[in-house]
Amino acid sequence: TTPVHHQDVLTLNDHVWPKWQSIIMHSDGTHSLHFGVNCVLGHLMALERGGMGQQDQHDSQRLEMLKARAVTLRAKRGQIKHQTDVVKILKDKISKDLPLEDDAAAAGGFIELQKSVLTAWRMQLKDLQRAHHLIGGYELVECKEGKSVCVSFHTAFEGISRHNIPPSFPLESFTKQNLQKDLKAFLQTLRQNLNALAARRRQVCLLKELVGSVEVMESNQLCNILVLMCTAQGETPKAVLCTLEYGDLTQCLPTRVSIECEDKTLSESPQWKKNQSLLLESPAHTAVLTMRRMGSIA
Amino acid sequence: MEQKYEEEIQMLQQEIEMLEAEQEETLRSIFIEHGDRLQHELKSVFEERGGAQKPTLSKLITEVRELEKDLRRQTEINGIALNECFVKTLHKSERKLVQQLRLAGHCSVLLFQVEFAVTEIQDDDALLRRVTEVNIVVDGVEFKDFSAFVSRVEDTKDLLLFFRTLRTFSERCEERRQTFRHFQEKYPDVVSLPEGCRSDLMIIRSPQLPG
Repeated sequence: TTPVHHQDVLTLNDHVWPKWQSIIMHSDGTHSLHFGVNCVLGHLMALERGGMGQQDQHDSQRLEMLKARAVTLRAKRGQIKHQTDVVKILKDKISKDLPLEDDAAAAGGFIELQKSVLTAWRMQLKDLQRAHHLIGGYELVECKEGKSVCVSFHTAFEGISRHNIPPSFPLESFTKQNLQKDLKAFLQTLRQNLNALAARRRQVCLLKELVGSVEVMESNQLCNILVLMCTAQGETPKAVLCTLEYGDLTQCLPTRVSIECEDKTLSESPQWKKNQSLLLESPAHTAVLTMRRMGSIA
Repeated sequence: MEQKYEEEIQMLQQEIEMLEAEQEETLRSIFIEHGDRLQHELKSVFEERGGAQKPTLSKLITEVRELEKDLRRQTEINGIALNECFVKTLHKSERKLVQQLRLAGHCSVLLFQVEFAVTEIQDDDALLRRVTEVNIVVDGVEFKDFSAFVSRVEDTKDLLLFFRTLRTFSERCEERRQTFRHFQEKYPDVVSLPEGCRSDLMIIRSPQLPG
């Protein structure tokens, strides 16, 4: 099927996709990764459109196009108005506990009411589908008549989510491990890792946003290492380097924290032992804010 | 001349949007207020297969069957069954959608009710989704120590974490239940489950040894 571009979304198989990255898994065991497929296609289509149509034919063509569009929309409005009226009749009959089919009603009328009943059920099914997307964090769409499946993930940290999968994400190894045998396990593993990645990344963003006095010296795409430089308060302010290693990629907290300072007594002090625990047990930005509030760092 | 058409087109588009929103709300209200009656009518629509297959309905019926199939798959993969789903759209425009949802369901034998609001904003190349006002109620004997977790999730608004945890928790409870039942069946004289096999208490008392 050729995808259709419409404003800011992409329609594929009658399913509307917002501009997310997606993974397409084929039943023959291969998979393809589509980054910004909609953006690329949209761009290509825009280029195509720009190239076509000479300027002289442009104006009369445009008028024709507008006229046709107006006619289409007028028809659509009529259709929807009629459907809305039928739905209201359905609601009226149901709330008055009347049968849908009565002797006086024309056969056409009854079928329309039945159509509304189905439409109401479809609405509920779509709502349930949406609910599952929101609580599961992913969307699964079958393409090519069941031969391949397209999955989109939604990650979240502290209630806010947006997503893209970085190239360094070990997608290949996950698919090798799980995909053939068990779709459910594959999705769960992927979901876990993506969520943890999003959480770690968000912590780095929040650190930069909320705490100006701490410098992020090193971080990477997978966010499995974070090196921070803090300024310890004291008679003479001293630079302290905190290295957070995230050994478990399904977690958003580090597995190891090391504190380095030129002044050995500082890094061995009970205060900084406590700071080390804080960094191990709470999200990076929360820990750093607490350390600042307690006067440990600037 | 062009302008006249452009204005009409814009007006028509707005009207269509309004009508669609009105229809959506009416359809949802039928379900909320008269769900049982609707299910009854649905049954007769599906059962009416004999003789004339109504072509106008068959496309809708196919679409509905597809959605039902997808829902069963989602339920299985998520491990969560939804019995109730009420959605209210507070705001809908080209780039922004605000909805309130109320869900009720169960994860194996664990019951839950979740209410929340979600705001989605379409950026140029990404969809930003924000969850607010989360309200969770859980019910079941297993949830004795769960309330601290529930409060924390309500604060952090981490819906995904709640359902992930609910799933894992439910699996552990099931394992415990099976373990307890196994022991009770194998050693009925020694093992007793005073609170039933769903509780966290199993007593082992040997008739020979004291205590």
